[in-house]
Amino acid sequence: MTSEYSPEDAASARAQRLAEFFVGTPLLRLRIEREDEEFEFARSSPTHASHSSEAAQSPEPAAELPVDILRADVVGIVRFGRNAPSLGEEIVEERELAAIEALGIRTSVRARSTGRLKAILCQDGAAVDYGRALFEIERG
Amino acid sequence: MLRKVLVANRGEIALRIVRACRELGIGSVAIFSEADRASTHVRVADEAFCVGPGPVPRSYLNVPNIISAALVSGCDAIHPGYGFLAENARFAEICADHGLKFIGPRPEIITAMGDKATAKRVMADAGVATTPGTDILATVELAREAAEQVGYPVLLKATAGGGGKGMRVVERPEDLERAFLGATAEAEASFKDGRVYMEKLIRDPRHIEVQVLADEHGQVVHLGERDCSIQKPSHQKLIEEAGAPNLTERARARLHEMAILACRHVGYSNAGTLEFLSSGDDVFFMEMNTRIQVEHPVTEMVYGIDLVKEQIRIASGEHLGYTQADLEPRGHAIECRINAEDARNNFAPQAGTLGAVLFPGGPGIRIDTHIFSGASVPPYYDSMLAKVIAFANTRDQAIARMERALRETLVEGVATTTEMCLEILATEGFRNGTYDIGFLPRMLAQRVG
Repeated sequence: MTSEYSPEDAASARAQRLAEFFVGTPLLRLRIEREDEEFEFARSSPTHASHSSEAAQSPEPAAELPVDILRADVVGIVRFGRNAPSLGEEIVEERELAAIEALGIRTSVRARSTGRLKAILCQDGAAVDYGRALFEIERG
Repeated sequence: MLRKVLVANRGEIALRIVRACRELGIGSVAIFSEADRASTHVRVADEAFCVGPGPVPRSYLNVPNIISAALVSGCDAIHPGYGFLAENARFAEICADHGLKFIGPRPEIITAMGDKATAKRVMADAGVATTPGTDILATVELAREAAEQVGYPVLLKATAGGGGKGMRVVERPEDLERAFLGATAEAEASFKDGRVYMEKLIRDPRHIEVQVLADEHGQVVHLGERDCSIQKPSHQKLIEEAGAPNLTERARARLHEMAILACRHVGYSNAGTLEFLSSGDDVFFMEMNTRIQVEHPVTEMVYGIDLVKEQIRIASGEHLGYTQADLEPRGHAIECRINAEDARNNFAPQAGTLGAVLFPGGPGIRIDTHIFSGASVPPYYDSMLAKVIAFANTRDQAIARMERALRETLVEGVATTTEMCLEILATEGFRNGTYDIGFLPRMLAQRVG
């Protein structure tokens, strides 16, 4: 069947269907990554997990796609360099936005795509845990 | 006293440690995998850090993330619980390298006791009775020669083993080669260490273990014995009790004496358990677990001592503050493990989302669990959901209490071992306390037959 929708409409429709599916599950968070898009749905959790409040901070689905969410893949301290990014700034792919220091090792957090920095979800010097959302980049 | 403890574990034992910290007035930091985000220990701890995705190697064994979580949260100690990193000497060393107190014995003790062949040799040097057997066997030919000397039947055991993995009974010479190759392959797959050793098979023994506590100033006490002979065919424990029923006074005295002797010999500190095989008056050292045990609550109930708090106090450098003469057991305690397992299908582990969950209460009942209605049971971890512990003045009363408690237990959504425990409690062998480690496998075989 030929689609009558634009790619954006199709993405919105997919997001809508996934959101409806998610509402019917007991899951706290659902993340789907595909080659060209990423969806994330989250409920506000009754748990407090003080260093893992990403569920409460995650964006609502569908409204502003496609968005890259950069996450911490190690536990450590976030360090912004001298060239710290600003909200709304155009970011080029591979740019280092921050680093995470852990056990004396510095792990770069780099943009996976070119786009606009939509959200900064971490603070310089803050402790972050695995999977914590750090930055959102609106691809474009 | 320590100020803040990172709990490097999950499930009921993580919750148990967080509770001990809270009662001691010290901070607690939980770690969790993405699969455990909604788990109770995460909610109850003062702080919590996700350390990786669901699979164990990437989360609960992710040493860099665990150490980093301890450091960035300002912890001064790590409690490893049981399983995962609890008997990993290298992890204990890494903790020390980062200025973190590992709540357990020194790394060299963990190394010596973790290698079962070495542990047996050390215990024999201390004058502790060990089962006739060998050191590590490098080849089938050496195993064959050893079996002739020890005498069939023999038991091949993985030196890094636990939970029955890498273990084979060999009744006849013609079965040796296949058993040796099977045990080494299983040990390699399970522990990344395929080395095996051999012991004389003690027929129909009981599994009796002795709880010890030792401070860092040379004071050692035992807290009596536990009978852990109700084991699944995979050698995993299902029901434990303190004290051991029908143990001869001579055997009991020898067990306690040997446990103290062993701890003094190796300079042990913190909580530990020496496991023995018992048959009549004979007791043979089997292995030492250098950590808190799953079944520790039955000892706590009869001695009135919080073993986890004692671990933390000892790690803080405190003196025990009591001697053996101050310790007197009172009453009897039984623990039943409620596992997410299908007992009618070879105890196959279950995963999924729980429906309604309701645990019993009332006089003499203690529940150690992390689950709740609607909780998820991830497929990655041990299947134990809860421990139901019954305490009473006498063993008969404790059995009656346990039966009442298990009948009140409701865990919907997965198959559990609750009914199996009730069946065991109802048997004559359990009621008269004459069971051995072959009891449950024989009961299951008869049912199938």
